[in-house]
Amino acid sequence: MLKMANSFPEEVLEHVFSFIQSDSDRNSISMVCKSWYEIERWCRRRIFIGNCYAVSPRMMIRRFPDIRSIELKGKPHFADFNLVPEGWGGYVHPWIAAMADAYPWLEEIKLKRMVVTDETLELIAKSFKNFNLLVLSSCEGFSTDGLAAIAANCRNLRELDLHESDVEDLSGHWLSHFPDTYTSLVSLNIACLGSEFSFSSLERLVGRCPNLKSLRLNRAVPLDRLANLLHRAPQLVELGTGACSAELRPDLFSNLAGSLSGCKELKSLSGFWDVVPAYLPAIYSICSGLTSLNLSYAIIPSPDLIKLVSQCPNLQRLWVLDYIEDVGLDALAVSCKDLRELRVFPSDPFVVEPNVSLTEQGLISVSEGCPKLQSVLYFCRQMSNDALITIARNQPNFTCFRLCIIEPRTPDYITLEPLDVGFGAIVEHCKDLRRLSVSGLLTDRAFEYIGTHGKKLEMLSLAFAGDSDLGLHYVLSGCENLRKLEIRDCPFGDKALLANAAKLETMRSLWMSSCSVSYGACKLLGQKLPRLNVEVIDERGHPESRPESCPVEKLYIYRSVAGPRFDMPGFVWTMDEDSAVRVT
Amino acid sequence: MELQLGLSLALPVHNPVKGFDMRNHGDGVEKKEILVGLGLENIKNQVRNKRSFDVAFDESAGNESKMLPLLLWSGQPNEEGDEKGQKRRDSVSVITKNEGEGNHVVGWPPIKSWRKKMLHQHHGVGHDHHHHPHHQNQILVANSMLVKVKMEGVGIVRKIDIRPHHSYQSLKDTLITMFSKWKRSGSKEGGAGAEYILAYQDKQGDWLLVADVPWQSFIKSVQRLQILRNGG
Repeated sequence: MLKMANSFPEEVLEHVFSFIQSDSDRNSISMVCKSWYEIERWCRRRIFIGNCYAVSPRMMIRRFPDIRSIELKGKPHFADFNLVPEGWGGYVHPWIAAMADAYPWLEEIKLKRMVVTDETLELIAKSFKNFNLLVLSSCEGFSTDGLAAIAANCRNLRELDLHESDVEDLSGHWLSHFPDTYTSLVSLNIACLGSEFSFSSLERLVGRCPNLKSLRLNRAVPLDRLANLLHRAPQLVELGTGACSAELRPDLFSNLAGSLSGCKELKSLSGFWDVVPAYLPAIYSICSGLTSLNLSYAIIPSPDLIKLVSQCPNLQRLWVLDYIEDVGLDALAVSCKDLRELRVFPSDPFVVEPNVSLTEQGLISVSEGCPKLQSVLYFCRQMSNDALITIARNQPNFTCFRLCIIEPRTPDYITLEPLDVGFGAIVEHCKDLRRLSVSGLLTDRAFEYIGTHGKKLEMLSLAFAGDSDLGLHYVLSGCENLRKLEIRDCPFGDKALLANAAKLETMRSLWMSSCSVSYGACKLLGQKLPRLNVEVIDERGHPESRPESCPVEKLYIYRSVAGPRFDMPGFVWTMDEDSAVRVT
Repeated sequence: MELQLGLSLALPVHNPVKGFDMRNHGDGVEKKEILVGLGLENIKNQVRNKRSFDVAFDESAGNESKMLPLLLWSGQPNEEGDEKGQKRRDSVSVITKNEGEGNHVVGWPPIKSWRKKMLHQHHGVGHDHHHHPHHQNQILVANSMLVKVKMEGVGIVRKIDIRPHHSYQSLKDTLITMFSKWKRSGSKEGGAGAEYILAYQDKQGDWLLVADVPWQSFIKSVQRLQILRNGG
């Protein structure tokens, strides 16, 4: 077989490889033999780098000379929750600068949790002739001036997505930088922007792009403008509305309902900021075609939500605030048999008393009624082991199960026991679980279950849980496929970490904050494992100024073939040979 | 999934459960001593043997894996006792005071800062109604007007939108439906409303009986509602 493969001309193999899209399959191909490695690297067009510090741009370019599409991630996931201090890093500029020279034919850039400057956006705008896709997801550091450069120069731009980015919003004028001859837009997401822009330039832009499929507007777009936009783009598949807060006017309502019913292709709706529930019936006519509904910024009382979801038999994804309550989830379970993903967010997470009647019961109903449910993110205030066991039995298809019981260390509210057995049932029954977030009162026993059964677990988030090093030891020694582990406020320390040091080389990253890992152990890890970058983040000052046994504030460990990074701010220290020399 | 892994690094075979060392290295020895003992020896080797990263990149065999784990698991976690861990944890935990959110642990519950911003930032442009964050008990979001309702003896506080209602009767009907499951058992269906008194708190903080002022005055002053059992 191998002999035969070797006798193929390179061009044939290259053609065969071009059909293989999955990153992991391409990786496997390149490990077959030297010649496959060579052929594969020359014809690799897409690359995903899960940590921008795991490899250097130079190394990437040396190996893959002709990349057309890059996806790059920066900060640790916990940055979403303000756990990574500002200025930590994740700068994309060195990557763009290197690619501007090496990849003139680069077409797509997708960035997540990275710092992007206006200068970088200008460089992108002028460096890549065929550039057509820019996704900046949870990025920061740039302004609408940088966006103006993209709009003015990227003639072939198909997609511009600013998903949840923190953009300095200087003015809405950037949108009018798209030239009048520009017609290639397919997808535009500007939901994160704050300022109003010229509605007439938006309307003209929408009107002249016949392939526009996805349009996600921001809160500044008023309801009376929406109908006009929709009349110009009846081909839309995905719509994010602006604010829906106008006084209820019959003419406005019928205008909106009319323009929406003209959008026969609509499958996904989001936005609905400040929605007046009385406007919701305007979307009823298109509900039967909807597969995705994001109402997680819309304050809608349960009865209105019930009416709405009852009209959506084909819904596959629902994001909603906890105003839906248990009764609403009951209705969802009855109406939406195709549901795959459910996220229920808290409307008032910082108060102690519950403001809505949302309990474990709602999740049980959905797990019973929706046989295709695979992914759940659920914020609630009470849970029981029995409920978790029922959910696990109902729904062994979960690939993602993230449960947040808002008050840390909350026990089973019926028995007052830890929730060990409940989460144990989840990992035991859900054999394909890839992502898990646990909460509530948990002892090391829960982690024994997770370590034993979580064979396919790739990402695990832990908070306020466990009682000793044994908990972390179970996880690190058990979960064979673990890639990302993030831990906060757990009593896990040196022993579990050092005993499982080799495991860290098989993972993308480990985050530990407010745990019990000593500075001494961090140093030891950094010295012993040269392929890991061990970074101590401590805003109290240099860790050397405290005893070695003192626990560090935050620890971020990731594997890297690029060596220590050079852009660390003053509160990050990397544990490497230098610290070893200091010790000896 | 990432490019560099698996291509360049041969992963050390990790089999810790089987290699679970039960020789009790930690017996009677302070954990710290093991660390230091192991540490210094290895650090010296490390300084001599440390390879450049390019070598590490090209080399396929992970010879470091032989000397791992750095600390043998003794099977006795936290000999020094869990209390110490507990204390450490509590002392390290970061508490901060955020404006408008009171005292809470940073980053908990895990809600994206972007989402918090979007949900709690209320956009004034083009609105007839503005959000008043200082009115804790009354949330005005554009045309909806949510007021908290507490029922005597019921743990959960609900919110009700007053705006769609145009009379006391429709408000009462909605409240009866909303709280019907907590209705005192044995009560007759028809007389359910009569067993309870509805009170509201006005802007001055006084508690008054609902329906003693015209509806329009009521909706201008109501801050929160309470359902009381008639005659206790």
